[in-house]
Amino acid sequence: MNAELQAELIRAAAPVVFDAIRGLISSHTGRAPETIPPAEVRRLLAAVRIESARSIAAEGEAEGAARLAETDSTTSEEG
Amino acid sequence: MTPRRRYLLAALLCGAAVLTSCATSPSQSDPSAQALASLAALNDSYRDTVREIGVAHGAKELEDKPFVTLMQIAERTEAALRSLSAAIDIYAATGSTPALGRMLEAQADAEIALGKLVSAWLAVKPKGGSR
Repeated sequence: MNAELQAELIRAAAPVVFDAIRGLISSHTGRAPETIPPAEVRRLLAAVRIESARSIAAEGEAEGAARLAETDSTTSEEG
Repeated sequence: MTPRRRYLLAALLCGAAVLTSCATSPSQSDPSAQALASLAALNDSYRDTVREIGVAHGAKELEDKPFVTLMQIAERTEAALRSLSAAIDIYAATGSTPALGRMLEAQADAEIALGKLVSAWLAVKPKGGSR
């Protein structure tokens, strides 16, 4: 492979890889970042639900308590 | 140079080109989209961390006192995320320079708040984890 061909390959491949990365970024928001109009930003923003720390922790606590009860019952069955 | 080396060199150069392109990516020209992506990522981490804290407390792997302290930090993180969300909304509505400044500031505050929550949790996290 000569140097010119190598350079050509690199020039051809870079945008493809770059597009793939931009695709990953935009998949987070649904479209290319530079094309999001303000109205769309506000719509997407409304979709990001910030839950209260108390309610998230309460959900986790219920799961942890259930896990503990399960472990206890398994231990008593084994014992 | 062997074909394999040439290929590796080409791959390296491609990687460098991609990094350079990302550094000057058009996405940086839209700060509201950047802030939005940041908010979504921070919110996910916040949710995962608080849930882990809750699970550990529910499973009695985490005592009440550190749990209360962590929840106070979690509530500050929640407030920082809400501030960021409000700042993005204001910037999207107005596009003004002061709103942009406030949004970037709120983004930095939210990142710091989440960092404090995660580091406080890691400092007391039970060995073996609670997930």
